[in-house]
Amino acid sequence: MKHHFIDDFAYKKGFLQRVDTGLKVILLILLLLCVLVIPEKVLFYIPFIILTFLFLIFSKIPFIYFLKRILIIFPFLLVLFSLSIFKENGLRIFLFSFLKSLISISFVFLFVMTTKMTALSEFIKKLPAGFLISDIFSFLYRYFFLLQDEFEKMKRAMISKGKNPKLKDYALLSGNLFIRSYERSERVLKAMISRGWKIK
Amino acid sequence: MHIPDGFLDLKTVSATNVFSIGFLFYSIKKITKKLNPERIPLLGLSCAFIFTLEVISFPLPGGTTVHLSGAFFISLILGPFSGFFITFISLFVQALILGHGGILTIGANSLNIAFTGCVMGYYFYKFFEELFPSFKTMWIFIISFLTLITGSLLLLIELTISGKILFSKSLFPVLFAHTIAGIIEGIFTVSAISFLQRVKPEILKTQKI
Repeated sequence: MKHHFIDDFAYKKGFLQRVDTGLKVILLILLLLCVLVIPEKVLFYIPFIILTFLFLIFSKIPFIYFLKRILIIFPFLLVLFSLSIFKENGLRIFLFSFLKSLISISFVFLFVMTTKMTALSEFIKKLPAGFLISDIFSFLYRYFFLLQDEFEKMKRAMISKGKNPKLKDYALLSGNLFIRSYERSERVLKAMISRGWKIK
Repeated sequence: MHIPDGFLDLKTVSATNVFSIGFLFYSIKKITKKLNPERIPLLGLSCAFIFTLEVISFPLPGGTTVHLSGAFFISLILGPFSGFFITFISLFVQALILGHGGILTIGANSLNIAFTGCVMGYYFYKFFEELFPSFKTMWIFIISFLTLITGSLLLLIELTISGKILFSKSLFPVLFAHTIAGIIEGIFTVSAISFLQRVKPEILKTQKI
């Protein structure tokens, strides 16, 4: 399967790529908090939209690619839209929440697209109890693509044997995937220990 | 459903984050207390598994798709605190790289999904399992279903407190959607646990923290 690694642009030379990861995390949280508390007036949102475009240009991220990535939130927003319209002034409330959501996800994606996952993992390690979070985070990023491929392979094998998977079959495939993950964890542990890994 | 950033107000975001991040540190404390190095790769791979499960869409009749939560399933294998911890990390990474959920709403999303699924689900299951040990499968189904319903009610409460929806008008559509998802989650959890019981029962005997 072809995967899109989101930190591809982190290896380019751009403005946000040069900023220290810790500083970017603080900046991201501050920006998200600002977006959260700004009043519901269009004028207040314009600087954030301009800032997003400036970051995009100076960090050399193609706009179309970026747009495709942020479109992912639209199905969620559609559900929230269908719930908001029952409320008085619901459309207005939804539109401002939608704007906030769009700006927030733009900042989050700008952050991850310009930050190497290894740098992020290193940063997490410095936080309180960060060693465990950082280890799990690294495992997740390392094995998620692999497990997804493994699941697809198992599904394809099932279909090629003439069985169209139903919900119960998906449960069996997932159970099988967990067994494979479990067994892989045992092999990974041995490999880690043989390379001198110790718990900090 | 994962709440994106922008749909909860400051007070709801603060309260849910204080609770969830507080509980995350409590879970880490519990895990590290009994931690042996063997458990780290297992937690890591289980986290990748939960992430994969939440990303894969399962087709439903009528052309729609649904994705599973797996929070209750993983807590039955690894225990409530390990389950909460890895589900929290999985939700955080989903918000970060896929845009499912939000960064500031991580507290609310982990309360709705990880806390109800792993912690509440696990302890309720243990309670009922001890009370009526011969109906294990039934309890797994019922509690799996109820964790999703509880999560959806919490979601409604959070959005109502934030002034985004009307609780009374949104209750029926949200409960209806989550009832279907809950039944699917229940069938999935029962089938997957009985599959593990049949094929590799030692996994179910893993230390539960």
